[in-house]
Amino acid sequence: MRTVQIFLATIAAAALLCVQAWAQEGGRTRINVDEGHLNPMPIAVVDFIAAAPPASQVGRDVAQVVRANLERSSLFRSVAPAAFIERIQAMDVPPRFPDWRIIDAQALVVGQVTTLPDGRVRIEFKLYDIFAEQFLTGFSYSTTPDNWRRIAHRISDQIYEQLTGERGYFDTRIVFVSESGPRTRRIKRLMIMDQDGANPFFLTSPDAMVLTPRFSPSTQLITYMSYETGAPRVFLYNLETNRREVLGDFPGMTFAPRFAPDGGGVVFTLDMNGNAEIFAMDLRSRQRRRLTNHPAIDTSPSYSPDGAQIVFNSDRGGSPQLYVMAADGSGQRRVSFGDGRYSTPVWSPRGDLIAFTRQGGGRFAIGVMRPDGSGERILTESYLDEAPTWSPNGRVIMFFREGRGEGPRIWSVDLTGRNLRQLPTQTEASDPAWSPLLP
Amino acid sequence: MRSGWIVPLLVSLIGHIGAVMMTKMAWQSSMEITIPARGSVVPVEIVNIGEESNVRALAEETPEDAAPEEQQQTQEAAPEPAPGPPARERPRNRNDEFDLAAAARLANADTKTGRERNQGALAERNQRGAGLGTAEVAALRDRVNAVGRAHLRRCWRMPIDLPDPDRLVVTVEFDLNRNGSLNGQPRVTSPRNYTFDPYMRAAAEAALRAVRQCDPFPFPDDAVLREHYDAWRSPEIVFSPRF
Repeated sequence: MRTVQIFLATIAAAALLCVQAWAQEGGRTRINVDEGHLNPMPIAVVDFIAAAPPASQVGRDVAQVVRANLERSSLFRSVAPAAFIERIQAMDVPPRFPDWRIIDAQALVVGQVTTLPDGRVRIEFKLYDIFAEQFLTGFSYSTTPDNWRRIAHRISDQIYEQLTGERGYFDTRIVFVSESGPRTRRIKRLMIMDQDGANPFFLTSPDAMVLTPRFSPSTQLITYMSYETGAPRVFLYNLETNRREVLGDFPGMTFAPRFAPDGGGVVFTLDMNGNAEIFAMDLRSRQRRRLTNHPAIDTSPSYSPDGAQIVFNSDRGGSPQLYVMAADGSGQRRVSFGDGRYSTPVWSPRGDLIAFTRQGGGRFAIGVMRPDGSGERILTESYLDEAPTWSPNGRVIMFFREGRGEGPRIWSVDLTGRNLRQLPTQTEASDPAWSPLLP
Repeated sequence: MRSGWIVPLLVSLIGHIGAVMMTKMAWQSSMEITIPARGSVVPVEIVNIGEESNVRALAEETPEDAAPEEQQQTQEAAPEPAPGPPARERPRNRNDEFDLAAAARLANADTKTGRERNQGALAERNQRGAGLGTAEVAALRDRVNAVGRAHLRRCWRMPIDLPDPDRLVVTVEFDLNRNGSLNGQPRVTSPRNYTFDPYMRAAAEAALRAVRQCDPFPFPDDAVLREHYDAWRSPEIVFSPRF
């Protein structure tokens, strides 16, 4: 009996304590914040430290490329080095956070370049959160001194991923059609460069005209259309082996090729006797399969990132509009219903949107819509904007823009429709295609 | 004979240990419910209950140029106070005299009419249950909300460029010193686990960054809130991105 009493007393005491704890913790005043800003995050990138002259030049160059990459994304603003208070002397010593806070930097990148005995360089960096006074991430890379640019891009990607939560897109390349010469004898060659315009070089000779290059979303393989053999043919170009081959010898014209997400297959258009239909081909077995069967023109197919669906362009409804079907060709349905003519659909690598070109009222626009056709937004519009291609993280779209009497140039715009920029190219340039992140 | 006192001692020991454990558990469970239900009463050290209803004061001091929404709220809160316990007879103290009209104006500057209506209705309900002071508590809470929102707006970079921004709602709680500065680190209380959700992680970090960047908070600069430290010493911020 006494035991029961004691027990009851203990339980009562415990319950009392419970209530007290609850009362102490329960009264937080809630503040609802649903409005913020979209300003870029101020970030300070210090010139990477180095002991001797060749390495110190690399240190300055790497920091400069990182700053330029981050700024170009429009998500960051590089704090001018002239404003820095603390002079970073060593990588191992934590920075004086208040010194960076006072110049309004929210993140800080410090780095170091060391020449190794075998002539290579080691480039390392550390990223700090100034307000949390925390080390966030850091990596070290070893490479030949002339490869510093790629390391700078990789560092930019690491910083971008850490601070935005999205995959980066700086260590990537753009393949495009370089255009030169008069209108009547236009020379169109395949060219490739880093995403920031550095390291450009030609992939094909000036003899044969090329069109519509496309990158594989997962490998360093390019597909494009060329008149090299007389009639237009779809080619494959392996950037790692530098080998080129014709996709297949079909009756009629093949064009508008695009890779399957795993890089193991290609969808393209085959025009037989004036009727364009979409076909898929497995690159290993070289088996081809017809996906559309309609007297109208069906073209410009593009896979969803999971490979389950294909968006394409068809004029079966009277004017060119966008349609979505399953990867086996079943369940074809129209998704675009706005004014104008829709073409060149491209499924975002993120899967959430489809980019397209819309033509109407004598102007061309680049826009995005959800895969069901809802939420259509125009990002940019001009006399001629065409051929969108997604960054591998699905945040930026590159396209080409041509003015009245002006040759084409490559531009980029981000998903919010802001941050419209022209890419530096030596020649006039069209039809860009963005690579996946380099291996 | 000896076992005669050992058994109760053991029971007592187990009971005490049990009690301590249960307080721990209680603490944990209280963490679960740190998000107060809408309109639940925020404990304020001094809840003043004067002879005249604060609610009436609010109605009388409503400026003529106030929005219709505001008037509606005042009407909702205006009914005669129910007879209360003797504690109500306490004399007024200086906390009664804060500018309720200003507080109401600030509260109504908030454009979320749905929430406003909720709080108006709840203030009425609480008035019956817990006494007149809850109207003041609601006004204070709205004032904290208004000052906090305006301050955090400058520090929060909305993650609306991430996919499905509507789902990226993050709740952060933290404690403030009397001078408005952060006491310890802000904590994400919702979502519970976002380690493997990079977009949610980015949203959570943006929320934490906003709180740290907004440190110190301007609550002590506000003439009314300065006197009501308990109303803002432990805020909970809900960041919800809107396109």
